Amino acid sequence: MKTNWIFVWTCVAALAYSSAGYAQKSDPVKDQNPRYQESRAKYIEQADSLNSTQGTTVQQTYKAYDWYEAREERRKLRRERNYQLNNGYYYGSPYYYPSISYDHYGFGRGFGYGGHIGYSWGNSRPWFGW
Amino acid sequence: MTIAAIAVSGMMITSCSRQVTRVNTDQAIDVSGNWNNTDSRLVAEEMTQTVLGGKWLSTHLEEKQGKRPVVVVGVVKNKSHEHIDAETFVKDVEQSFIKSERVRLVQGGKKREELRAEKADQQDNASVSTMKKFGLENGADYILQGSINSIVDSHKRKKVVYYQVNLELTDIQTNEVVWIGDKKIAKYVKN
Repeated sequence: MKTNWIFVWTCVAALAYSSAGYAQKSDPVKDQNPRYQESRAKYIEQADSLNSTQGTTVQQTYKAYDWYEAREERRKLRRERNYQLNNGYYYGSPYYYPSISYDHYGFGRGFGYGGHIGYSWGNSRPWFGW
Repeated sequence: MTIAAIAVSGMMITSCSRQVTRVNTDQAIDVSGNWNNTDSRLVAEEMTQTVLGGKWLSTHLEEKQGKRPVVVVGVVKNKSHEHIDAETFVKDVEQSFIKSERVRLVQGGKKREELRAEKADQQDNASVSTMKKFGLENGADYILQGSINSIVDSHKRKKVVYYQVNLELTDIQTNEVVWIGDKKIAKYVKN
């Protein structure tokens, strides 16, 4: 009977010791959040991708409005558009300007010189004004 | 005739040739008004001066019985309107850590991965006595992160550009920000 009691108390003591040990293992630092393992598991998964940019500059630039630059860009776009509309002739070229005649027999009509208002044949294209 | 042709071509080459002059890296030369080496240098000077003189360092040494802090460099976000690489001034800060011998620096990011890959390679190829082991890296105490911001105010040919560069040091264990350094730069540009 006495032996049984010793066995029971030994088992209880062993259980208490192991429980204490387990508790200490899961919460080794004082005041640590008991759910820290959830966060740990989450970030261990993502650590490689999150840390890959360490030591670098991540570019998140924006386009600032600059009146002067915006004007230059507008001009450039206009020149490009007119270049295309004038079949490769830049502003200032004698072939750039359209014919001012409305008929098909005036100066500069449809044989490849400039653009034409109205319909023509040859190198004709619409004119959108000065 | 030939001599004349050579002389003319020589003159043409001379008149079209690009002129390059070496200058001192400390010399401030502003060409376009954009971010340049002078701005980077000013940021580096300010940051290196303040980070080592900050109270965080003495506090750390006091709390850890003279054990030097270990720092890893994190990400710097460029949220300005220009392409700026922070490495030009962050490297100066890193260099100041090493030169001062008061702060230890560990690699992060891609360089750290390269180191681990090299270690992995050694497991198969290096002799046992020279092979480096896994799991013996120095864990950082602090992370250095930063941001670059800008404000542009322009009208017609006039423009004022303002840059603000911030670097901050955070305790990795507690997330406590222990130091913030900043450098503000303003430029008036007239086209």
